[in-house]
Amino acid sequence: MLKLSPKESTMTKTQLQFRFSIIDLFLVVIAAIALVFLQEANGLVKPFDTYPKLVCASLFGLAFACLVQRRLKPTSSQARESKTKSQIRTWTMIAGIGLYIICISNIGYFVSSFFYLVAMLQIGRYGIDEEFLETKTLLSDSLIAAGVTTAIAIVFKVSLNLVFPGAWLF
Amino acid sequence: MQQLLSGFSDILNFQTILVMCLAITGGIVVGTLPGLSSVMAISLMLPIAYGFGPVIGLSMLGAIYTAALYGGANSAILLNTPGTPSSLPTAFDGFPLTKKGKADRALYAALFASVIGGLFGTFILIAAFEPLANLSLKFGPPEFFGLACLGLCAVAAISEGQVLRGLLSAFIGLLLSLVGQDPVSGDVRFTFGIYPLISGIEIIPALLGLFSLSQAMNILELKSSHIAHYRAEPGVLALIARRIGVAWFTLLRSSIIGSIVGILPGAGGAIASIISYNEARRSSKDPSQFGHGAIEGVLASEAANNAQVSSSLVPMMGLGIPGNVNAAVIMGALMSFGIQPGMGLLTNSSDIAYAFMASLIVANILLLGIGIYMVKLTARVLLIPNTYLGPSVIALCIVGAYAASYDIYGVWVMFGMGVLGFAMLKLKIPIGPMALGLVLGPIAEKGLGQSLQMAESETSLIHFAMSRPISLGLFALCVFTLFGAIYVERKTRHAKAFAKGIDND
Amino acid sequence: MTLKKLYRLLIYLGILSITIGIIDRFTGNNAPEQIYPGKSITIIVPFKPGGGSDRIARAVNAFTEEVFGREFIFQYKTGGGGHLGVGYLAQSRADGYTVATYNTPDLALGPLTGAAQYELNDLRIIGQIAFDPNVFAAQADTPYADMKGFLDDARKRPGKLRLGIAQPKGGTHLATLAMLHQESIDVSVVLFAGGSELATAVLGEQVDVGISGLAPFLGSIDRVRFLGVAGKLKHPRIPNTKTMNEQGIPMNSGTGRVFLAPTGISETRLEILRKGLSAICANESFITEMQTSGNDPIWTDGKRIEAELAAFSERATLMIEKYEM
Repeated sequence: MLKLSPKESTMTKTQLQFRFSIIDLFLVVIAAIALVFLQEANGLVKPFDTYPKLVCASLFGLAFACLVQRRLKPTSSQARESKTKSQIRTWTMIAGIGLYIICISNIGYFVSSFFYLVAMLQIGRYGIDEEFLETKTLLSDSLIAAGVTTAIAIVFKVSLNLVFPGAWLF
Repeated sequence: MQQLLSGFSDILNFQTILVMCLAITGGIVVGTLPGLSSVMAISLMLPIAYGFGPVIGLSMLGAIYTAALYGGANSAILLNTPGTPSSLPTAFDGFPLTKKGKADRALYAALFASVIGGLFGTFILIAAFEPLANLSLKFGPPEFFGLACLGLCAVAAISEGQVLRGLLSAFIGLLLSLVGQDPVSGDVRFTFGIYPLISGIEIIPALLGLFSLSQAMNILELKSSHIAHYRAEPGVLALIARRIGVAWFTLLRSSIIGSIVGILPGAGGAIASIISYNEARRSSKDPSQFGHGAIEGVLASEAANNAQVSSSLVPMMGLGIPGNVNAAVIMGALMSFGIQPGMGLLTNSSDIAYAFMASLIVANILLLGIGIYMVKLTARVLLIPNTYLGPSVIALCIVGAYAASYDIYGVWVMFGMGVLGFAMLKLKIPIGPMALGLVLGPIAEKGLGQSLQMAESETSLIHFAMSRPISLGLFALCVFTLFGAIYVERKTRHAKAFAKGIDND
Repeated sequence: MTLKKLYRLLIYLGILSITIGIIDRFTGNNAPEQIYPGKSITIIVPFKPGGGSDRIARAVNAFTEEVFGREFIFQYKTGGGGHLGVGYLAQSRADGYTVATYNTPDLALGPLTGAAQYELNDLRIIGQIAFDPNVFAAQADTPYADMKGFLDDARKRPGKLRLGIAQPKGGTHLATLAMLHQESIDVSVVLFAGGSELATAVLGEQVDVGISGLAPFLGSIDRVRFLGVAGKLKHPRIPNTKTMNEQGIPMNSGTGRVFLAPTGISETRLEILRKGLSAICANESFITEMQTSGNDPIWTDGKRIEAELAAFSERATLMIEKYEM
């Protein structure tokens, strides 16, 4: 199934004494969203409200069932001390992608992609301090970034005549 | 038969074969790259096809379609990113094989299965497209609803050991597919004021985000230098060929499932491959292997989705009504050549029709040859270190999402789904069912909505349901599938207990 | 990070930014007025490739080189029943290099039903290239000889018959509901996403009668009996089928294929587009090609369509409220 290397994923488990973890939070959020959708579905014209209501109700039921199942099953002790560093790294990475997308529509595709790729390649070297921001590796990273951006651009522009988003820069 | 042979003679000349080879190579690349789809490729090549004339032009388009559907398996296996929704189940077993260092086994298996499935589907098309087209007419909204439910039951069945979580994931997908316009009434709903959501959670950006982006995020987080270690295994081809010989029944069954589901307009390849995957799992000697690197899983999924390629052309050729977007574009090409597909096809334009069908056979054979060479190339992707691969995949996803929706909104959908997929990965909730839910949702909703409208003219809903034997049969299959899943789970549990018992002795 | 590295980084970024700025300044796009169209015109197709709109646009595209100097660039922007693509056009630059194709009267209905985010005023209509009247179709062995027969039977058995309509909230839907209301007919209406789905349903006897354009039925024309044409004139492909008006049921419903440009486009460029498209429309080969796919190309100037749509919008607002669309 599509589970990715469980040994390598860091799963945070807060407060073991309350036996409430992130998964439970996720399930509660899902149940809440299902209820919100159910409420919205009340405003629909019959018979087009049947299917949405079915789905929302089932989802709510499933979320609830999952919560119950977690209570009944003995908690698998996989609590590992997650390094704060890697958590920060994860969130920075996600925020970075979001920032990149914002830049695309406001600055322009090529510039944003280029800077994003350079930044990512450099951050990849963050652990190895001597190589971080060395001119030689900065140059090679820039070349690779430029290369990748151009390659993608060529493939999509030539094949699809795609008009890339551009704002005040290209 | 005579006409088919003359069709072959039209195809078997240097120029046509050359064009087809180029088309197949291009099609494989298009299918492999996440973000590019076969529809895009076919519509792009339309002007070129017109320039070539009917025989070469249609052969080219058919070749691209075939190759692109196969190509989706490559990214599914190597990067855990199905190139098309039909290749979803391929990733379930393909990617674990990659992680075990056996990527080339999976790639060759996918290639062989695709070719075999494609050939089977094409034979069906040639032999019986008119009667099959009539058969497809018997499937109305209640039957489609039953089919979608069957797909969902198959999803539940394969989530062995975590049925509740699998179903939860599937229903999250169904919920997300509600956003946007109701496929029946056209009502805009669940957009919460955000206008671009009127087109809903589009499937290509969503798949890109759920699989590609979350996978890229995962790669970046891992300490490992590569996705998986890879070394070309000698003798792989022979090994796979032997496995295929052994698994002939799986391939046959999957091709049949793919062909049947393919003739139903609007059903799509995802339903075909998931049902065939589930069936393969149910009848395998060791179902617990599925999801962890069972070659049969890859074989079942790929045979079904390529069988579906040719059979999706059945309603188009038999009735002039295209069953999916690819068929629609090819139909457009046919009509521009002055050919009206449908009932008059074999009487009025039989030579071109048969040449086209012959070209599909040739395309599959060429695919085998070209594919074997390209497998070696594509597997090299695994040699790229994660530091370069991760960001490049992200950049590619973003462009792909933008190209699919021509709006930055598609990119945001991809991003949102990517974060969701990443979160679900961390929480050990499977994301495959969610993707399937997204794909099946509109089919189920349309089926139910239209059925309810139709039922208004009957005395009661029960009465209406009873009058539709095919749909009842499909619901019976649903129940059968669910029981089958329980049976499989018992079988695995006993096998495990048995093995433990032996160990303990 | 050492100070030296920080300096290096800043200098590097500075040089890069200046370079980018310089390159950007020298690669602006400027198309002089005299040689319009100086580059390819992008056409936005709000539907999936292969559909009716796409085929017509491609048919036009085959002749664009003669008239405009180069072919169109196709951009597909699906969603919202096509309204998303039109909305995208409405926000595009009005420099004459972006046009779109869409249908009437759905163009006017979008803003009224809430399915669209644009207003009619945001667009200029270049012109209408073809009008495709809707047809009522049933299986070949249907007991009805024409729509009058079907409607009479529906009066005897209210709610027992099924009528399929293609494209919910579109012009066909509205016109059919209006006709049913005016004739006081009670049938079970089943909505289908598009003509192909409807044709499949009619052929498979999922509904008793269906209404849509003629094109989806072309491949199975011998298995279908046409009960009526909903336009003003008979359809050239099925000359034996009476119009609804001839059967005593007033109805005028069909799909007009129009080409659009955003408001603000200069009148000169609009005129050039109008002249070009009407020339294509008059081209013999174009006419033959369109006729094979069941369309009858007749050019109607944009100004007239704009006026018709404005009048239609007024009538439609009342109808939409009445039928709760």
